[in-house]
Amino acid sequence: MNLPRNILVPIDFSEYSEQALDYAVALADKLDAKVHVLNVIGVPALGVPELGIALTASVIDGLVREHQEAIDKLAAPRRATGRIGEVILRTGDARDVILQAREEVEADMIVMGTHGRRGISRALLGSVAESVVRMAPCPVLTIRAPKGKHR
Amino acid sequence: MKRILTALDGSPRAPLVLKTAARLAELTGAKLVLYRALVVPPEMPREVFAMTDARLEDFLRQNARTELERIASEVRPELVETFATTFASPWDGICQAGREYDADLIIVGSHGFGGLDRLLGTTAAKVVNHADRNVMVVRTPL
Repeated sequence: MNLPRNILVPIDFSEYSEQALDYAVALADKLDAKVHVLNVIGVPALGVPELGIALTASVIDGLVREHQEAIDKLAAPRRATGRIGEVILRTGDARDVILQAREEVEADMIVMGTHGRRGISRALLGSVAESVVRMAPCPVLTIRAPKGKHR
Repeated sequence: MKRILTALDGSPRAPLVLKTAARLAELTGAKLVLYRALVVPPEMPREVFAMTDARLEDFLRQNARTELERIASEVRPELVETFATTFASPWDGICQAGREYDADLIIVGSHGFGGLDRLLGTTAAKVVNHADRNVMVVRTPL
């Protein structure tokens, strides 16, 4: 296997995704790779037109601005490492957008946090991470560890 | 990163998975635990072994061990901390071994995508869903 040169980190601003980003940056340092950060604003967050639920343009603008600020805030303190590449904000279905963005930045690895599934739901429901694991043509590293456990 | 649990099944992709794990271990200073789940066919309950020949279990274990050692000969021996096998369904065995060895990372292989894979759920997808630690799924063309 050729070691990854471009790592895509999809984040959702949960504690797990911040850990995933730190993990990816540390790994990129060892591999001499770039880390591209992606946030996807889910389709339901923008309203579901079929159901007549649509958000006004100003609400959408506000949402996009909020996410942009949040993703910049995550990326900025890590830029000093020299490992941060593209910072991307998209809307759509997370599963599809992650795979699209992977192609665009030519990522050969995806690192992402996962909340995991507990009880009955974990047997029945697939997570975004699971879906990405199934569909991505590159290695996918899922982060589950409690904070501070890994270096 | 200190310890990587590397799940190696009997498929032709196992050596590639190990190679990836070894590269990562070299770069991060981690050691590898090489794991293989010993699968008892569902139509043959464990009791059968006890009734017929207790040595069958040892035989299967030894076989898997020999196979693991053969695959491991492809990487630098100092990277390998130990070998492990348990009787378990692969995804469950991998998750348990990850805990037992307190692995920082679990590496599993996954074959090509599409077709039945999407419907049936691979070992890798189950490990991602159920393991209580970090998991890296390596795609292999085989």
